[in-house]
Amino acid sequence: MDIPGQSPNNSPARRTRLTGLLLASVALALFIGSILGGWVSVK
Amino acid sequence: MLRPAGLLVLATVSGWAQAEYKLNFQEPATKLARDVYDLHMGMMYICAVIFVIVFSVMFYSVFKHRKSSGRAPATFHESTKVEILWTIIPTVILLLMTWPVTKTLLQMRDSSNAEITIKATGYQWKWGYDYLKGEGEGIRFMSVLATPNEQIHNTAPKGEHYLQEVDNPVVVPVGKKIRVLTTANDVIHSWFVPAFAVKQDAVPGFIRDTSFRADREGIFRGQCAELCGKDHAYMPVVVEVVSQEKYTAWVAEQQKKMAASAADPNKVWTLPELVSRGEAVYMQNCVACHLPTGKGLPPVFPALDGSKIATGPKAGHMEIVINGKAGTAMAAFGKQLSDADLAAVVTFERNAWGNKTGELVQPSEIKAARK
Amino acid sequence: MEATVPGHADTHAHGHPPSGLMRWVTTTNHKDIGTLYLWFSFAMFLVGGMMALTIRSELFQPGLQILEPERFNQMTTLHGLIMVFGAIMPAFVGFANWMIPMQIGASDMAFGRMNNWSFWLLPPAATLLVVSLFVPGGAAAAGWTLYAPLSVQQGMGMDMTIFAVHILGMSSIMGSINIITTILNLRAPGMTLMKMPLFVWTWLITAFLIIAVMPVLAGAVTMILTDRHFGTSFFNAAGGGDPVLFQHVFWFFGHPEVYIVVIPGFGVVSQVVSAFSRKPLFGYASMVYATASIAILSFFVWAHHMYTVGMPVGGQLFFMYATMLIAIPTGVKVFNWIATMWRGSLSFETPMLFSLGFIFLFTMGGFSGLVLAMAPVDVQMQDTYYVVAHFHYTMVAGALFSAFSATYYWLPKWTGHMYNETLGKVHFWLSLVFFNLTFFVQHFLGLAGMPRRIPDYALQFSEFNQISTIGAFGFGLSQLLFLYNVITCIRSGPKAPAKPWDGAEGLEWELPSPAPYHSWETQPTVK
Repeated sequence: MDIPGQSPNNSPARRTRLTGLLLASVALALFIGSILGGWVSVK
Repeated sequence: MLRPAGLLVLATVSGWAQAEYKLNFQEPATKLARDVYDLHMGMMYICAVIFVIVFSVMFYSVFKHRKSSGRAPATFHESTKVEILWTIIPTVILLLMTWPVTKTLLQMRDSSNAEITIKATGYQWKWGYDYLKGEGEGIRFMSVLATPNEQIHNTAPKGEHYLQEVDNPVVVPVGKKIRVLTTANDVIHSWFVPAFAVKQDAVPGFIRDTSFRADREGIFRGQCAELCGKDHAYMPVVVEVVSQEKYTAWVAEQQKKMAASAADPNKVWTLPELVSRGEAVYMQNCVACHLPTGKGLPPVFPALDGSKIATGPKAGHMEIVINGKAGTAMAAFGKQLSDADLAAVVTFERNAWGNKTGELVQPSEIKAARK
Repeated sequence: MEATVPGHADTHAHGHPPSGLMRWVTTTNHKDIGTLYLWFSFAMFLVGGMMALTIRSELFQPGLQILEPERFNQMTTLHGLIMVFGAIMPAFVGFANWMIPMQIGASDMAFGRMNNWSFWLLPPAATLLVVSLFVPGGAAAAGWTLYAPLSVQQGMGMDMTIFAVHILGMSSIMGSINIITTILNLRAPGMTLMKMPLFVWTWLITAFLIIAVMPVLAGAVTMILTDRHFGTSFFNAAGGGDPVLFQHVFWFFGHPEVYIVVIPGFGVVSQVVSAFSRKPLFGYASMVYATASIAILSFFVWAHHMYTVGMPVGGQLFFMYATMLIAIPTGVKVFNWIATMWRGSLSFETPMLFSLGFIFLFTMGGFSGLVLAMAPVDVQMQDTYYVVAHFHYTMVAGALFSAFSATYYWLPKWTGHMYNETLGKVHFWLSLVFFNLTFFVQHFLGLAGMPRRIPDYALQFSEFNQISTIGAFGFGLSQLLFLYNVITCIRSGPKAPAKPWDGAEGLEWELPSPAPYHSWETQPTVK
């Protein structure tokens, strides 16, 4: 994503990508976790 | 200016409260229902007072602080003192509500020491009742909507108890504590009688319980209160509370009826007898899905008229009526109907509309097929 | 719609930007995407609205007149799903897309292409839902809450709904990732978190809620799918499962969901009330903490939707106390809004009317919510029209009114024209009157014992059902005035200045009206 005056490899853009990746991982973990949790609770 | 307005609102609201139940809960028939009624009224008064105070302030501001009055706006934008005040005051009000509500809830959930226990089973789409313990033990029957189809489809005028009448109501004696166990045969239903403040979900595969002690005689009507499919609106709950003497008489009468319809297991039925009984069973249990014409609502509810199952081998037809069909709405009627009724309805289906097999099924064949 | 045309005097070297249809299909511009979301949400609002009118037509009189019961249940199910996931949520995402970058001094959202995908997932999902009406067996008919085992029993319409819910969930999750990343990383220098406009704060909090709970909804509907087709027994007692498990998983999503729907509206109301009182928002920090408290508390109250399932009394007590707690920060917000107005210099243009309507009617919804929180009283109200009244007060007079407030407030910024103020006021008053006619009487229906989700009812419920139906038609027709006003405003109308509302604060009012296609290419510095 091009913020004017910044180059792609420096810290703010990288931080931005990492934030996105972290949030996406949380979402995925919750999805899998809720199904596993459901499965465990009725075993 | 605020005080008379507040009093007026309260007077109006309490006027409404005294009015017939159309604006409030139904007339309570148990002490618990009365407590719930009072709890609700108390909450409404508190909410009304808060509402009047808060919105008097807001409307005062709307009128007095208009731009057109010419005054410049103030600039204040915070005050820790005031924030603390209007956090503490609502907290205190909520804390004051806590004890009465908790007390009523604890009473509501206490179903111990009941004198009669009745199991209510939710089916798609009717209730079944089993008197399990106490006077009347052993009585069981289905309770089906009694409102005729013509009223529902607007070809006949609607009766007074439209959609809230059944063929066999639950009968209980007045003043006795009744424990109601709820469960279901297929999906979640809910057993709801507003006059008793009773509502208990009926969950398939599990047993829940609730209780009531009616303090007056009368007929009390409720409905299924959990969406359970197509005819959720058409499976009412009707409880008839009678004097102890009337109850004892009813119990005796029910036991006699059950003995009679259990029928001689060795009796050999004729075709006309089976067809005529079967038609009555069909009209009560099967028309919701398969329709009086037998044409059903394919593909979800198959047609019986001309169906391969109803004109093919008897065994297959008996099997599906007794055991239902997993993954569909076709229930296992073996659990709901007697051998005689099952034999009759299968015989009827095989000889009704365009189906002319000429075959009949004896109750003893059903009994044998029930393994 | 032409808010602004991509300028060829851009300093960007991206050649000729596409025009016509391809512009809208490939755009990564937050203003274009915001516009797409807003038009989509209004179209879904009309579709869901027509379903509501169908429902209310059937309910005009006892007896079955126009729908067979199964079709009626399909209507109630789709009405709920479409309004929540197709109308209200996308509307607020549309406002977020348009306004967050402009309000924080960023040139666009953090992930432009993902933003485009977030939007374009929506039309296929909506199509799945609408088309499911026409497949064998019809649409899902288990209510928007999709309780098992009923939902496990249903035909292929249920599978289409499950697929649609997954797609809608992915869209919301991607959108929220974008919003959080944008707010945390792209604020202009000097804009600390505690200097952000409240609309940005409320969306930051909402986006966290979405990421926390939408995956759980996805889990719940996936378990329904596997119970239906892949031999699992999550919700089937015979296989060792429990139907009530679905309710726990669903409502763990479901309760935060209702705050997802309304919290951005809180942000809008805070900004609009402050602007039209010509006074700073009272208790900014308090408002932030109250909103965060509401969001956190919302995770602890889910079973108040399940008081009658048969849980132990200790469970009922816990959830009751936790639910009562939420009233406190909510009350703080209402008091702060009124304190903002107090001794301000008030004017009542349409945005302010809708925000005041919100405060008045959402609070009424809050009172009926407090009544429902009381478990022994809830036993009478659960699954009756009292609940229907409660959530329409909070979601229609709440969320929808705040969406109207936001639209009238920001239309001049988006279009460069002023909308017709008289027509706006008429829209407000008609909506207010007809809304209350439709839903106030439903409290009485619930008290009298009328259950939800029934196409036909006992005779004592007739009068209020008739009144409610008349109100519904009036409300529905009034929305056409809004459509007319918006379209006219886009095409013509008096030119709007950069700041049409003299009391408004915020970086968006420093940009011209209409806002340029690319704004804040050079970040402002906030003092």
